[in-house]
Amino acid sequence: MAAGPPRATVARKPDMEDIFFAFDQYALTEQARRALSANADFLLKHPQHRVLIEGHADERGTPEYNLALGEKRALAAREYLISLGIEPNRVSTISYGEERPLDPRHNEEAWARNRRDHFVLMSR
Amino acid sequence: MRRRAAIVLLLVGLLLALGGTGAGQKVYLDINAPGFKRLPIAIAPLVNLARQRGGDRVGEEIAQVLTYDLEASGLFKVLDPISFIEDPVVDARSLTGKEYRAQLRDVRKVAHRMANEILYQFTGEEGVFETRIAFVSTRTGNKELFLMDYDGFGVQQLTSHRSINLSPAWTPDGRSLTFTSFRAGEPQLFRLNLAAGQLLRLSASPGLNVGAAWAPDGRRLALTLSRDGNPELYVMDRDGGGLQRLTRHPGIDVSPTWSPDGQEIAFVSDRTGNPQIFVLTLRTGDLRRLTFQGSYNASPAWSPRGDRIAYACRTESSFDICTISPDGSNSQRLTFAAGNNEHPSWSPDGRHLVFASNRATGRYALYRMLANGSNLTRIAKRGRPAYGSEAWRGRARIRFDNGLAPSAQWNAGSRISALLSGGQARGQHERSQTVRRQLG
Repeated sequence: MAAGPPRATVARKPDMEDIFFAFDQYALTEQARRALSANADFLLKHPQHRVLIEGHADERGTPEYNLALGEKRALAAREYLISLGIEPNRVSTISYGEERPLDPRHNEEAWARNRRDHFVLMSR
Repeated sequence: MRRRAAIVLLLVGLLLALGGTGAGQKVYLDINAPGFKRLPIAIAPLVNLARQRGGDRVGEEIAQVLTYDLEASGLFKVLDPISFIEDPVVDARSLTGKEYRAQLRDVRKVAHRMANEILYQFTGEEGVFETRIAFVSTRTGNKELFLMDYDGFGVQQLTSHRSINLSPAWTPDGRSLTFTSFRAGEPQLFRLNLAAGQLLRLSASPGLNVGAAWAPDGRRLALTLSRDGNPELYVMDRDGGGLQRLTRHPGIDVSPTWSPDGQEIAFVSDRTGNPQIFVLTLRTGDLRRLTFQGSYNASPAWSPRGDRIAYACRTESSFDICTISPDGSNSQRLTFAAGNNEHPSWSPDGRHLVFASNRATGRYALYRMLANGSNLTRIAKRGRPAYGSEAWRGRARIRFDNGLAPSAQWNAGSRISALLSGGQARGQHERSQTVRRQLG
Protein backbone atom coordinates (compact mmCIF):
# COMPACT_ATOMS: atom_id res chain seq x y z
CA MET A 1 0.00 0.00 0.00
CA ALA A 2 0.94 3.58 -0.35
CA ALA A 3 2.78 5.40 2.36
CA GLY A 4 0.40 7.07 4.76
CA PRO A 5 0.26 10.70 5.72
CA PRO A 6 3.37 11.95 7.47
CA ARG A 7 1.74 12.28 10.91
CA ALA A 8 0.67 9.26 12.91
CA THR A 9 -2.99 8.42 12.76
CA VAL A 10 -4.54 8.42 16.20
CA ALA A 11 -7.87 6.94 15.37
CA ARG A 12 -9.90 5.95 12.39
CA LYS A 13 -13.22 6.25 14.13
CA PRO A 14 -16.65 6.39 12.66
CA ASP A 15 -16.90 9.68 14.56
CA MET A 16 -16.33 11.38 11.26
CA GLU A 17 -18.68 10.30 8.51
CA ASP A 18 -17.58 9.93 4.88
CA ILE A 19 -19.27 12.13 2.31
CA PHE A 20 -20.04 11.15 -1.29
CA PHE A 21 -20.17 12.86 -4.68
CA ALA A 22 -21.78 12.47 -8.09
CA PHE A 23 -19.65 11.47 -11.09
CA ASP A 24 -17.19 14.21 -12.09
CA GLN A 25 -18.65 16.54 -9.42
CA TYR A 26 -17.22 18.24 -6.36
CA ALA A 27 -20.31 20.15 -5.29
CA LEU A 28 -21.49 19.13 -1.83
CA THR A 29 -24.76 17.18 -1.82
CA GLU A 30 -27.42 17.34 0.92
CA GLN A 31 -25.96 14.16 2.43
CA ALA A 32 -22.54 15.76 2.39
CA ARG A 33 -23.70 18.92 4.13
CA ARG A 34 -25.53 16.97 6.83
CA ALA A 35 -22.52 14.73 7.45
CA LEU A 36 -20.16 17.70 7.48
CA SER A 37 -22.31 19.44 10.09
CA ALA A 38 -22.07 16.38 12.32
CA ASN A 39 -18.32 16.17 11.64
CA ALA A 40 -17.95 19.84 12.55
CA ASP A 41 -19.86 19.25 15.82
CA PHE A 42 -17.49 16.43 16.67
CA LEU A 43 -14.45 18.62 16.02
CA LEU A 44 -15.92 21.44 18.12
CA LYS A 45 -16.40 19.01 21.02
CA HIS A 46 -12.95 17.50 20.63
CA PRO A 47 -10.48 20.37 20.36
CA GLN A 48 -7.58 17.96 20.87
CA HIS A 49 -8.12 16.58 17.36
CA ARG A 50 -7.37 17.87 13.95
CA VAL A 51 -8.57 16.26 10.76
CA LEU A 52 -7.05 15.21 7.44
CA ILE A 53 -9.58 15.11 4.63
CA GLU A 54 -8.77 12.54 1.96
CA GLY A 55 -10.38 13.27 -1.41
CA HIS A 56 -11.06 10.29 -3.67
CA ALA A 57 -12.42 9.65 -7.17
CA ASP A 58 -13.72 6.59 -8.94
CA GLU A 59 -11.52 4.81 -11.47
CA ARG A 60 -13.09 6.31 -14.57
CA GLY A 61 -11.20 9.11 -16.28
CA THR A 62 -7.53 9.96 -16.12
CA PRO A 63 -5.39 9.65 -12.98
CA GLU A 64 -4.32 13.29 -13.28
CA TYR A 65 -7.80 14.67 -13.64
CA ASN A 66 -8.96 12.42 -10.82
CA LEU A 67 -6.21 13.68 -8.53
CA ALA A 68 -7.47 17.20 -9.17
CA LEU A 69 -11.05 16.04 -8.67
CA GLY A 70 -10.16 14.46 -5.32
CA GLU A 71 -8.36 17.65 -4.36
CA LYS A 72 -11.44 19.73 -5.22
CA ARG A 73 -13.63 17.37 -3.18
CA ALA A 74 -11.34 17.60 -0.16
CA LEU A 75 -11.07 21.38 -0.49
CA ALA A 76 -14.87 21.72 -0.74
CA ALA A 77 -15.30 19.85 2.54
CA ARG A 78 -12.55 21.85 4.19
CA GLU A 79 -14.15 25.11 3.20
CA TYR A 80 -17.50 23.96 4.53
CA LEU A 81 -16.01 22.88 7.86
CA ILE A 82 -14.32 26.27 8.18
CA SER A 83 -17.63 27.98 7.42
CA LEU A 84 -19.07 26.01 10.36
CA GLY A 85 -16.50 27.46 12.71
CA ILE A 86 -13.58 25.03 12.56
CA GLU A 87 -10.19 26.74 12.68
CA PRO A 88 -8.45 26.47 9.29
CA ASN A 89 -5.25 25.15 10.84
CA ARG A 90 -7.13 22.09 12.15
CA VAL A 91 -8.18 20.95 8.68
CA SER A 92 -5.69 19.67 6.12
CA THR A 93 -6.33 17.90 2.82
CA ILE A 94 -4.79 15.31 0.55
CA SER A 95 -6.03 13.87 -2.72
CA TYR A 96 -5.54 10.24 -3.65
CA GLY A 97 -7.50 10.58 -6.88
CA GLU A 98 -8.50 7.13 -8.09
CA GLU A 99 -5.51 5.45 -6.44
CA ARG A 100 -7.09 4.15 -3.22
CA PRO A 101 -10.58 2.81 -3.94
CA LEU A 102 -12.70 1.71 -1.01
CA ASP A 103 -14.38 -0.84 -3.24
CA PRO A 104 -12.17 -2.43 -5.89
CA ARG A 105 -15.00 -3.61 -8.12
CA HIS A 106 -15.72 -2.03 -11.50
CA ASN A 107 -19.42 -1.19 -11.33
CA GLU A 108 -21.76 1.67 -10.49
CA GLU A 109 -22.11 0.63 -6.86
CA ALA A 110 -18.38 0.52 -6.31
CA TRP A 111 -17.83 3.79 -8.16
CA ALA A 112 -20.46 5.53 -6.00
CA ARG A 113 -18.69 4.33 -2.83
CA ASN A 114 -15.30 5.44 -4.16
CA ARG A 115 -16.27 9.03 -4.98
CA ARG A 116 -15.81 10.21 -1.42
CA ASP A 117 -14.10 12.32 1.18
CA HIS A 118 -12.74 10.33 4.07
CA PHE A 119 -11.90 12.04 7.37
CA VAL A 120 -8.88 10.95 9.38
CA LEU A 121 -8.63 12.24 12.93
CA MET A 122 -5.19 13.13 14.17
CA SER A 123 -3.81 14.52 17.40
CA ARG A 124 -3.05 18.21 17.43
CA MET B 1 31.21 -10.13 -17.16
CA ARG B 2 32.56 -8.87 -20.44
CA ARG B 3 32.98 -11.77 -22.76
CA ARG B 4 35.48 -10.79 -25.39
CA ALA B 5 34.45 -13.61 -27.64
CA ALA B 6 30.88 -12.51 -27.99
CA ILE B 7 31.38 -10.13 -30.82
CA VAL B 8 29.07 -10.48 -33.74
CA LEU B 9 30.06 -9.38 -37.15
CA LEU B 10 27.28 -9.32 -39.65
CA LEU B 11 26.56 -7.79 -42.95
CA VAL B 12 23.11 -6.94 -44.05
CA GLY B 13 22.01 -7.04 -47.55
CA LEU B 14 18.57 -6.10 -48.62
CA LEU B 15 16.88 -6.89 -51.81
CA LEU B 16 13.85 -4.95 -52.65
CA ALA B 17 11.38 -4.55 -55.41
CA LEU B 18 11.37 -0.95 -56.32
CA GLY B 19 10.45 0.21 -59.79
CA GLY B 20 12.43 2.63 -61.83
CA THR B 21 14.54 4.82 -59.59
CA GLY B 22 17.89 5.52 -61.06
CA ALA B 23 20.89 4.01 -59.39
CA GLY B 24 23.18 6.28 -57.47
CA GLN B 25 20.61 8.99 -57.06
CA LYS B 26 19.16 9.69 -53.65
CA VAL B 27 15.40 9.87 -53.92
CA TYR B 28 13.32 9.64 -50.77
CA LEU B 29 9.87 8.18 -50.86
CA ASP B 30 7.10 10.63 -50.25
CA ILE B 31 5.57 8.68 -47.40
CA ASN B 32 3.14 11.47 -46.62
CA ALA B 33 1.59 11.41 -50.08
CA PRO B 34 -2.05 10.37 -50.19
CA GLY B 35 -2.44 6.87 -51.54
CA PHE B 36 1.06 5.88 -50.47
CA LYS B 37 1.40 2.14 -50.87
CA ARG B 38 3.53 0.09 -48.56
CA LEU B 39 6.82 -0.75 -50.14
CA PRO B 40 7.56 -4.42 -50.72
CA ILE B 41 10.89 -5.36 -49.23
CA ALA B 42 12.71 -8.63 -48.78
CA ILE B 43 15.21 -9.38 -46.10
CA ALA B 44 17.85 -11.68 -47.40
CA PRO B 45 18.96 -14.43 -45.06
CA LEU B 46 21.83 -13.23 -42.94
CA VAL B 47 25.05 -15.10 -43.33
CA ASN B 48 27.28 -16.06 -40.49
CA LEU B 49 30.45 -14.94 -42.21
CA ALA B 50 32.65 -15.27 -39.16
CA ARG B 51 31.28 -18.79 -38.64
CA GLN B 52 30.79 -18.07 -34.99
CA ARG B 53 29.01 -20.53 -32.76
CA GLY B 54 25.39 -19.47 -32.40
CA GLY B 55 25.80 -17.10 -35.28
CA ASP B 56 22.99 -18.65 -37.32
CA ARG B 57 20.52 -18.17 -34.49
CA VAL B 58 21.63 -14.56 -34.20
CA GLY B 59 20.99 -14.09 -37.90
CA GLU B 60 17.49 -15.44 -37.54
CA GLU B 61 16.78 -13.18 -34.61
CA ILE B 62 18.00 -10.14 -36.51
CA ALA B 63 15.78 -11.03 -39.44
CA GLN B 64 12.81 -11.38 -37.09
CA VAL B 65 13.40 -8.01 -35.48
CA LEU B 66 13.93 -6.34 -38.85
CA THR B 67 10.68 -7.81 -40.12
CA TYR B 68 8.78 -6.67 -37.02
CA ASP B 69 10.21 -3.17 -37.18
CA LEU B 70 9.67 -2.61 -40.89
CA GLU B 71 6.09 -3.88 -40.67
CA ALA B 72 5.48 -1.73 -37.59
CA SER B 73 6.55 1.36 -39.51
CA GLY B 74 3.53 0.95 -41.76
CA LEU B 75 5.77 1.88 -44.69
CA PHE B 76 6.99 -1.54 -45.74
CA LYS B 77 5.48 -4.83 -46.66
CA VAL B 78 8.01 -7.46 -45.76
CA LEU B 79 7.89 -10.29 -48.30
CA ASP B 80 7.89 -13.90 -47.26
CA PRO B 81 11.50 -15.08 -47.70
CA ILE B 82 10.33 -18.26 -49.44
CA SER B 83 8.43 -16.49 -52.17
CA PHE B 84 11.25 -14.06 -52.57
CA ILE B 85 13.78 -16.82 -53.22
CA GLU B 86 11.54 -18.72 -55.61
CA ASP B 87 10.40 -15.67 -57.47
CA PRO B 88 13.21 -13.20 -57.98
CA VAL B 89 12.26 -9.59 -57.56
CA VAL B 90 12.16 -7.23 -60.48
CA ASP B 91 14.62 -4.61 -59.42
CA ALA B 92 16.99 -6.10 -56.95
CA ARG B 93 19.61 -3.83 -55.61
CA SER B 94 21.52 -3.62 -52.47
CA LEU B 95 20.45 -0.80 -50.25
CA THR B 96 23.24 -0.34 -47.83
CA GLY B 97 26.06 -2.18 -46.28
CA LYS B 98 27.16 -1.66 -42.76
CA GLU B 99 29.21 -3.47 -40.26
CA TYR B 100 27.77 -3.76 -36.79
CA ARG B 101 29.78 -4.87 -33.83
CA ALA B 102 28.19 -5.57 -30.49
CA GLN B 103 27.93 -8.03 -27.68
CA LEU B 104 25.64 -10.96 -28.33
CA ARG B 105 23.20 -9.78 -25.71
CA ASP B 106 22.69 -6.61 -27.73
CA VAL B 107 21.56 -8.41 -30.85
CA ARG B 108 18.09 -6.83 -30.72
CA LYS B 109 19.61 -3.37 -30.42
CA VAL B 110 21.76 -4.02 -33.45
CA ALA B 111 18.74 -5.19 -35.42
CA HIS B 112 16.72 -2.14 -34.38
CA ARG B 113 19.58 0.08 -35.50
CA MET B 114 19.68 -1.69 -38.86
CA ALA B 115 15.94 -1.11 -39.22
CA ASN B 116 16.41 2.57 -38.46
CA GLU B 117 19.12 2.69 -41.10
CA ILE B 118 16.85 1.09 -43.67
CA LEU B 119 14.02 3.48 -42.86
CA TYR B 120 16.38 6.40 -43.13
CA GLN B 121 17.67 5.25 -46.50
CA PHE B 122 14.16 5.33 -47.89
CA THR B 123 12.55 8.22 -46.11
CA GLY B 124 15.25 10.47 -44.74
CA GLU B 125 13.54 10.18 -41.36
CA GLU B 126 14.71 8.86 -38.03
CA GLY B 127 12.85 5.70 -37.09
CA VAL B 128 11.54 4.82 -33.66
CA PHE B 129 13.02 1.34 -33.45
CA GLU B 130 15.62 2.27 -30.84
CA THR B 131 13.25 4.30 -28.72
CA ARG B 132 11.94 3.29 -25.34
CA ILE B 133 8.67 3.76 -23.54
CA ALA B 134 8.30 4.63 -19.88
CA PHE B 135 5.14 3.38 -18.24
CA VAL B 136 3.40 2.75 -14.95
CA SER B 137 2.55 -0.83 -14.05
CA THR B 138 0.83 -2.45 -11.11
CA ARG B 139 2.49 -5.81 -11.72
CA THR B 140 4.28 -5.68 -8.37
CA GLY B 141 1.12 -4.70 -6.51
CA ASN B 142 2.10 -1.04 -6.42
CA LYS B 143 2.23 1.55 -9.14
CA GLU B 144 5.88 1.57 -10.12
CA LEU B 145 7.70 3.04 -13.11
CA PHE B 146 9.06 0.78 -15.83
CA LEU B 147 10.92 1.13 -19.10
CA MET B 148 10.72 -1.00 -22.18
CA ASP B 149 11.82 -0.96 -25.79
CA TYR B 150 9.22 0.31 -28.22
CA ASP B 151 8.36 -3.29 -29.12
CA GLY B 152 7.75 -4.39 -25.52
CA PHE B 153 11.07 -6.17 -25.04
CA GLY B 154 13.68 -5.28 -22.46
CA VAL B 155 11.32 -4.39 -19.62
CA GLN B 156 13.17 -2.74 -16.75
CA GLN B 157 11.74 -1.72 -13.39
CA LEU B 158 12.82 1.81 -12.45
CA THR B 159 11.26 2.37 -9.04
CA SER B 160 10.63 0.17 -6.03
CA HIS B 161 9.01 2.77 -3.80
CA ARG B 162 6.00 0.66 -2.76
CA SER B 163 4.00 3.77 -3.15
CA ILE B 164 2.01 5.39 -5.95
CA ASN B 165 3.97 6.66 -8.94
CA LEU B 166 2.17 8.44 -11.78
CA SER B 167 2.52 10.33 -15.05
CA PRO B 168 6.09 9.72 -16.21
CA ALA B 169 7.42 12.38 -18.59
CA TRP B 170 10.77 12.34 -20.37
CA THR B 171 13.04 15.30 -20.24
CA PRO B 172 13.71 16.24 -23.88
CA ASP B 173 17.33 15.04 -23.66
CA GLY B 174 16.08 11.55 -22.83
CA ARG B 175 18.29 11.34 -19.76
CA SER B 176 15.70 11.52 -17.05
CA LEU B 177 12.05 11.11 -16.22
CA THR B 178 9.86 13.25 -14.05
CA PHE B 179 6.86 11.74 -12.32
CA THR B 180 4.51 12.28 -9.42
CA SER B 181 5.07 10.08 -6.40
CA PHE B 182 3.36 9.65 -3.04
CA ARG B 183 6.54 8.19 -1.55
CA ALA B 184 6.78 11.05 0.97
CA GLY B 185 3.05 10.86 1.69
CA GLU B 186 1.87 13.62 -0.61
CA PRO B 187 1.79 13.86 -4.40
CA GLN B 188 5.14 15.49 -5.15
CA LEU B 189 7.16 15.79 -8.34
CA PHE B 190 10.41 13.85 -8.66
CA ARG B 191 13.10 13.62 -11.27
CA LEU B 192 14.93 10.37 -11.86
CA ASN B 193 18.26 10.50 -13.65
CA LEU B 194 18.42 7.20 -15.51
CA ALA B 195 22.16 6.79 -15.89
CA ALA B 196 22.97 7.68 -12.29
CA GLY B 197 19.77 6.30 -10.78
CA GLN B 198 19.62 9.52 -8.80
CA LEU B 199 16.24 10.68 -7.51
CA LEU B 200 15.64 14.38 -6.95
CA ARG B 201 12.60 16.11 -5.49
CA LEU B 202 11.69 18.81 -7.99
CA SER B 203 8.47 20.25 -6.66
CA ALA B 204 6.89 19.82 -3.25
CA SER B 205 4.35 22.60 -2.96
CA PRO B 206 1.51 21.94 -0.50
CA GLY B 207 -1.20 19.93 -2.26
CA LEU B 208 -0.93 18.61 -5.81
CA ASN B 209 2.30 18.48 -7.81
CA VAL B 210 1.14 16.54 -10.85
CA GLY B 211 1.13 16.14 -14.61
CA ALA B 212 4.50 17.66 -15.44
CA ALA B 213 5.31 18.20 -19.11
CA TRP B 214 8.67 19.48 -20.35
CA ALA B 215 8.91 22.30 -22.82
CA PRO B 216 10.57 21.10 -26.04
CA ASP B 217 13.70 23.13 -25.23
CA GLY B 218 14.05 21.34 -21.89
CA ARG B 219 14.43 24.58 -19.95
CA ARG B 220 10.99 24.73 -18.39
CA LEU B 221 8.18 22.45 -17.41
CA ALA B 222 4.47 22.94 -17.01
CA LEU B 223 2.52 21.21 -14.23
CA THR B 224 -0.51 21.44 -11.98
CA LEU B 225 -0.14 22.75 -8.42
CA SER B 226 -2.86 23.43 -5.89
CA ARG B 227 -0.65 25.59 -3.65
CA ASP B 228 -2.91 28.59 -4.11
CA GLY B 229 -6.02 26.68 -3.08
CA ASN B 230 -7.10 25.28 -6.43
CA PRO B 231 -5.60 23.01 -9.12
CA GLU B 232 -4.02 25.49 -11.55
CA LEU B 233 -1.38 25.32 -14.28
CA TYR B 234 2.09 26.71 -13.60
CA VAL B 235 5.39 26.85 -15.41
CA MET B 236 8.69 26.44 -13.59
CA ASP B 237 12.36 26.35 -14.48
CA ARG B 238 14.03 22.97 -14.85
CA ASP B 239 15.48 23.22 -11.35
CA GLY B 240 12.10 23.98 -9.77
CA GLY B 241 12.57 27.75 -9.46
CA GLY B 242 10.99 30.67 -11.32
CA LEU B 243 7.41 29.64 -10.69
CA GLN B 244 4.84 31.32 -12.90
CA ARG B 245 1.09 30.82 -12.71
CA LEU B 246 -0.72 30.31 -16.03
CA THR B 247 -4.40 29.81 -15.18
CA ARG B 248 -6.82 31.61 -12.87
CA HIS B 249 -10.11 29.81 -12.73
CA PRO B 250 -11.94 28.11 -9.85
CA GLY B 251 -12.24 24.86 -11.85
CA ILE B 252 -9.73 22.11 -12.54
CA ASP B 253 -6.78 22.70 -14.88
CA VAL B 254 -4.53 19.67 -15.50
CA SER B 255 -2.48 17.62 -17.99
CA PRO B 256 -0.49 20.24 -19.94
CA THR B 257 1.22 19.30 -23.21
CA TRP B 258 3.45 21.66 -25.22
CA SER B 259 3.28 22.45 -28.89
CA PRO B 260 6.58 21.51 -30.56
CA ASP B 261 7.46 25.21 -31.01
CA GLY B 262 6.94 25.81 -27.28
CA GLN B 263 4.48 28.63 -27.94
CA GLU B 264 1.28 26.94 -26.83
CA ILE B 265 0.08 24.54 -24.17
CA ALA B 266 -2.93 22.28 -24.54
CA PHE B 267 -4.51 21.12 -21.28
CA VAL B 268 -7.68 19.79 -19.66
CA SER B 269 -10.10 22.07 -17.89
CA ASP B 270 -13.59 21.58 -16.49
CA ARG B 271 -14.32 25.32 -16.65
CA THR B 272 -17.23 24.73 -19.01
CA GLY B 273 -18.79 22.09 -16.77
CA ASN B 274 -16.92 18.93 -17.71
CA PRO B 275 -13.40 18.03 -18.81
CA GLN B 276 -12.57 19.50 -22.22
CA ILE B 277 -9.31 20.35 -23.94
CA PHE B 278 -8.19 23.96 -24.26
CA VAL B 279 -5.18 25.61 -25.83
CA LEU B 280 -3.34 28.48 -24.18
CA THR B 281 -1.06 30.76 -26.20
CA LEU B 282 1.71 31.61 -23.77
CA ARG B 283 2.79 34.99 -25.11
CA THR B 284 -0.68 36.49 -25.38
CA GLY B 285 -2.58 34.51 -22.76
CA ASP B 286 -5.25 33.75 -25.38
CA LEU B 287 -7.31 30.70 -24.56
CA ARG B 288 -9.35 28.66 -27.00
CA ARG B 289 -11.53 25.63 -26.47
CA LEU B 290 -10.49 22.72 -28.68
CA THR B 291 -13.00 19.93 -28.05
CA PHE B 292 -16.77 20.22 -28.15
CA GLN B 293 -17.95 16.67 -28.72
CA GLY B 294 -18.70 14.47 -25.72
CA SER B 295 -18.67 15.15 -22.00
CA TYR B 296 -15.18 13.95 -21.12
CA ASN B 297 -12.05 14.68 -23.15
CA ALA B 298 -8.73 14.33 -21.36
CA SER B 299 -4.98 13.55 -21.41
CA PRO B 300 -4.01 15.54 -24.50
CA ALA B 301 -0.69 14.80 -26.22
CA TRP B 302 0.62 17.18 -28.86
CA SER B 303 2.28 15.42 -31.77
CA PRO B 304 5.99 16.19 -32.23
CA ARG B 305 5.00 17.01 -35.83
CA GLY B 306 2.70 19.68 -34.48
CA ASP B 307 -0.23 18.81 -36.71
CA ARG B 308 -2.39 16.71 -34.36
CA ILE B 309 -3.33 16.50 -30.70
CA ALA B 310 -4.24 13.04 -29.44
CA TYR B 311 -6.50 12.63 -26.42
CA ALA B 312 -8.83 10.24 -24.64
CA CYS B 313 -12.42 10.90 -25.68
CA ARG B 314 -15.37 9.45 -23.81
CA THR B 315 -17.89 7.90 -26.16
CA GLU B 316 -21.02 6.38 -24.69
CA SER B 317 -19.64 4.75 -21.55
CA SER B 318 -16.07 3.99 -22.55
CA PHE B 319 -12.95 5.89 -23.57
CA ASP B 320 -11.41 5.92 -27.01
CA ILE B 321 -8.40 7.55 -28.59
CA CYS B 322 -9.18 10.59 -30.72
CA THR B 323 -7.03 13.13 -32.51
CA ILE B 324 -7.79 16.68 -33.55
CA SER B 325 -6.00 19.51 -35.36
CA PRO B 326 -4.63 22.24 -33.09
CA ASP B 327 -7.12 24.65 -34.67
CA GLY B 328 -9.98 22.45 -33.51
CA SER B 329 -10.86 21.09 -36.94
CA ASN B 330 -10.97 17.58 -38.29
CA SER B 331 -11.40 15.49 -35.13
CA GLN B 332 -11.05 11.75 -35.65
CA ARG B 333 -11.79 8.77 -33.49
CA LEU B 334 -9.14 6.06 -33.85
CA THR B 335 -10.42 3.22 -31.65
CA PHE B 336 -13.86 1.66 -31.71
CA ALA B 337 -15.93 -0.44 -29.35
CA ALA B 338 -13.09 -2.21 -27.63
CA GLY B 339 -12.96 -1.49 -23.91
CA ASN B 340 -11.34 1.65 -22.57
CA ASN B 341 -8.50 3.27 -24.48
CA GLU B 342 -6.59 5.96 -22.62
CA HIS B 343 -3.35 7.89 -22.13
CA PRO B 344 -2.16 8.37 -25.71
CA SER B 345 1.52 9.24 -26.13
CA TRP B 346 3.30 9.99 -29.42
CA SER B 347 6.44 8.41 -30.73
CA PRO B 348 9.26 10.92 -31.29
CA ASP B 349 8.61 10.84 -35.04
CA GLY B 350 4.90 11.53 -34.57
CA ARG B 351 3.96 8.47 -36.64
CA HIS B 352 2.91 6.15 -33.82
CA LEU B 353 0.75 6.36 -30.73
CA VAL B 354 1.07 4.20 -27.66
CA PHE B 355 -1.87 3.94 -25.27
CA ALA B 356 -3.36 1.84 -22.49
CA SER B 357 -6.38 -0.32 -23.21
CA ASN B 358 -8.31 -2.97 -21.30
CA ARG B 359 -9.89 -4.33 -24.48
CA ALA B 360 -8.49 -7.84 -24.34
CA THR B 361 -8.91 -9.04 -20.79
CA GLY B 362 -10.46 -6.21 -18.81
CA ARG B 363 -7.03 -5.45 -17.43
CA TYR B 364 -4.93 -2.70 -18.92
CA ALA B 365 -2.13 -3.40 -21.36
CA LEU B 366 -0.17 -1.16 -23.69
CA TYR B 367 -0.90 -0.95 -27.39
CA ARG B 368 0.72 0.80 -30.29
CA MET B 369 -0.83 2.01 -33.52
CA LEU B 370 -0.07 4.33 -36.39
CA ALA B 371 -1.27 7.91 -36.18
CA ASN B 372 -4.28 7.05 -38.35
CA GLY B 373 -5.33 4.16 -36.09
CA SER B 374 -4.06 1.33 -38.30
CA ASN B 375 -1.47 -1.34 -37.45
CA LEU B 376 -2.78 -1.85 -33.92
CA THR B 377 -0.47 -4.07 -31.88
CA ARG B 378 -0.34 -5.08 -28.25
CA ILE B 379 3.17 -4.45 -26.99
CA ALA B 380 3.22 -5.28 -23.31
CA LYS B 381 3.92 -8.93 -22.75
CA ARG B 382 1.06 -11.28 -22.25
CA GLY B 383 0.12 -12.00 -18.66
CA ARG B 384 1.95 -8.98 -17.36
CA PRO B 385 -0.46 -6.22 -18.08
CA ALA B 386 0.80 -2.73 -17.90
CA TYR B 387 -1.34 0.01 -16.64
CA GLY B 388 -1.38 3.70 -16.60
CA SER B 389 0.19 6.62 -18.24
CA GLU B 390 3.12 6.20 -20.51
CA ALA B 391 5.52 8.50 -22.19
CA TRP B 392 7.44 7.85 -25.35
CA ARG B 393 11.01 8.81 -25.24
CA GLY B 394 12.96 10.86 -27.73
CA ARG B 395 15.85 8.60 -28.63
CA ALA B 396 17.37 5.69 -26.92
CA ARG B 397 21.04 6.28 -26.34
CA ILE B 398 22.39 2.84 -26.49
CA ARG B 399 25.95 2.28 -25.45
CA PHE B 400 27.69 -0.44 -27.30
CA ASP B 401 30.70 -1.97 -25.68
CA ASN B 402 32.98 -0.74 -28.41
CA GLY B 403 31.69 2.79 -28.07
CA LEU B 404 29.60 2.91 -31.24
CA ALA B 405 27.89 6.27 -31.38
CA PRO B 406 24.19 6.84 -31.98
CA SER B 407 23.32 6.81 -35.61
CA ALA B 408 21.94 10.27 -36.07
CA GLN B 409 24.42 11.36 -38.72
CA TRP B 410 25.26 7.96 -39.87
CA ASN B 411 24.11 8.05 -43.40
CA ALA B 412 26.29 10.53 -45.14
CA GLY B 413 28.74 8.73 -47.35
CA SER B 414 27.54 5.23 -46.68
CA ARG B 415 27.98 2.96 -49.64
CA ILE B 416 26.72 -0.28 -50.93
CA SER B 417 29.11 -2.77 -49.53
CA ALA B 418 27.59 -6.16 -49.52
CA LEU B 419 24.83 -8.01 -51.16
CA LEU B 420 23.87 -11.26 -49.62
CA SER B 421 21.36 -13.51 -51.19
CA GLY B 422 20.32 -17.11 -50.95
CA GLY B 423 22.95 -17.81 -48.38
CA GLN B 424 25.83 -16.69 -50.59
CA ALA B 425 27.78 -13.54 -50.51
CA ARG B 426 27.63 -11.90 -53.91
CA GLY B 427 29.17 -8.56 -53.22
CA GLN B 428 32.35 -7.03 -52.08
CA HIS B 429 32.65 -5.85 -48.58
CA GLU B 430 33.59 -2.24 -48.68
CA ARG B 431 33.47 -0.05 -45.64
CA SER B 432 32.74 3.58 -46.21
CA GLN B 433 34.79 6.29 -44.58
CA THR B 434 31.90 7.22 -42.37
CA VAL B 435 31.44 3.78 -41.03
CA ARG B 436 35.14 3.30 -40.56
CA ARG B 437 35.25 6.42 -38.47
CA GLN B 438 32.30 5.34 -36.39
CA LEU B 439 33.83 2.02 -35.68
CA GLY B 440 37.15 3.54 -34.76
